[in-house]
Amino acid sequence: MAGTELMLDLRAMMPTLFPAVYGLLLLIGVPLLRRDDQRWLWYIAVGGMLVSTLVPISLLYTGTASQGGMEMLRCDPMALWLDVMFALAGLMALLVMPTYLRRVDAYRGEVFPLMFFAVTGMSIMVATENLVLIFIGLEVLSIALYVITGMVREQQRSVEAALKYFLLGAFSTALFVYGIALVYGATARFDLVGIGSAVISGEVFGMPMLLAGLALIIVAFAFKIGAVPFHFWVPDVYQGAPTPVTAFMAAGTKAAAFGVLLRVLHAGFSGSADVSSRWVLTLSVLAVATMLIGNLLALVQDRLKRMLAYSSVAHAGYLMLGLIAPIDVGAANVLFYLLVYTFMTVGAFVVISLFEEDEEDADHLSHFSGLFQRRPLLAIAMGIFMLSLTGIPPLGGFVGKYTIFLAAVRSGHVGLAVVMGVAAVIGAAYYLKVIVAMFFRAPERSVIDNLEVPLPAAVAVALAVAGTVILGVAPSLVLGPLSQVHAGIALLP
Amino acid sequence: MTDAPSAALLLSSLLFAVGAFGVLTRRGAITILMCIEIMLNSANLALISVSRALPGNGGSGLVDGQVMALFVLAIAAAEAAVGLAIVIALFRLKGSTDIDLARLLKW
Repeated sequence: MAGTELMLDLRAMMPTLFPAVYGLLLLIGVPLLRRDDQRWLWYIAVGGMLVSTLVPISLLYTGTASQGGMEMLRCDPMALWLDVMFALAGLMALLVMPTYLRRVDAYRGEVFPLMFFAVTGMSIMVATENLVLIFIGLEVLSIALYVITGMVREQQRSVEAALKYFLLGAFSTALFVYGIALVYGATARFDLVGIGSAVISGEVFGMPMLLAGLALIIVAFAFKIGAVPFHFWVPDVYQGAPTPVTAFMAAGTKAAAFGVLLRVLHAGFSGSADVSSRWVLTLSVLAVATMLIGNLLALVQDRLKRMLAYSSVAHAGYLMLGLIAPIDVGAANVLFYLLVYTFMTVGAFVVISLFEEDEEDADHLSHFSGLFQRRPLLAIAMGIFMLSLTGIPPLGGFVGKYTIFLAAVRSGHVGLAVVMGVAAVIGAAYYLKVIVAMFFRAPERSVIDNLEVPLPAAVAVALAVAGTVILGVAPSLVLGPLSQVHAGIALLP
Repeated sequence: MTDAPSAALLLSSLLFAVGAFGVLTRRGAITILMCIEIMLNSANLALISVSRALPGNGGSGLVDGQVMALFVLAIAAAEAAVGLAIVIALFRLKGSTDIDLARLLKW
């Protein structure tokens, strides 16, 4: 029956289709409403982002993996879990967006549809096994993010961050496209299943071409996840972008890029030991550099947005260990870590966004001194995010680090696991610096005296705290369902 | 592979290198944008020449590489539009598009 087939097709495409259509409808609303009335768009956007969160969750509960969109978009558990993370990050960012934008006097309704387009792009990227579609999803995501990074166009640092993000993003896209072209030249296929079987059988037209293509794809995504030595744009863009946007891209882009890497590397290039040993070695070297340099550079920062940017570099290094591990050991841990990371990083950036005045150094560490005396609940929430980022039990960040550590040991990368332990200890120093300032210093600036915490921001912080704590106390709630997630990504040889 | 496609591949890799070199050494935002376009189009050249040379379709090559090139063209246009808008926004604030002047955040 063609009718039911169509329905199944549409159902599998819903996590991608819904934000796309919703974003288009919102876009129509922008010019129809006067600037003063555009706050109504915010209500509609928050509702839509909530539905975008619930759609993949409901599919996870009800559906088995199926394909949609003419067999181009998959609706497997990995894609659905990642869709949940994108929408959650978008939701928490949207909740603080109007407060922030009103304060910098740049309330523009266009940001809401663009957030939905970014979520659509991420969702396309992780739901497909076709390199062409991964490229299209990546661009839908990136172009939307370039615009909202430079949204506060009266502010020099926002525009500069957008320019930097754009130039480096476009550069890495060009590397990615050339990598696709070379892989296509070597295997005659764009889909990862076809590439994978060509790699297994060794029937490629030119092994050097295949390896060069793979190298370019890895470098392109090393840019996107901010791995050392391709990380130098991260602190500048994270600091310059409007803070809610930083929150969204820190969690969302990272989750999307790691989802793509999991699929591309394990479905496409793990069939032959000759090929897979090469990318494992490359990623191991990158991971060591990323973990150590990310944490060391974070130590010397005294602005929170910059510090968290380097911290996100370091976390990309930890996540790469899960990428290197075999898919049945690594995939579930990477996805769990990304989910925890979404909660704790977005939560931390949301708290910072409350501090940000129009001045340049609003996220300076000294502004957080004595926060506990003035705003005890906010200080406790920020403290929880910092402890979780450090990896203190019983918070989510600890379980995430621990499972990744175990995965590295179990897959025989003991040396990498040791480096990860050392890096995590270095990292503890700068997270604790924030906690010491908040709890044990006297308030010295007036910023925290007239700090506003509007209700939506409080909801976002509460959601992030709940996620961080629940994933730490009862990780099996998520780790259990995730344990079979690798089956949808790649068939084991 | 016959000779013509490998010559085209060689040309495309040279163009790619020229573009990448330009991105890494030039300081004008517009010039960098043009270098990125060169890189994208070198990838298009590689896609088209390779898809022509690959076996299949009765000797006339595969078509999906050419389709991919069309996608790249369309998306490069969208990217350039956004990029130029950002450059204009920066020019309004600074009066220049030299990325060395955009130094509020260190490069």
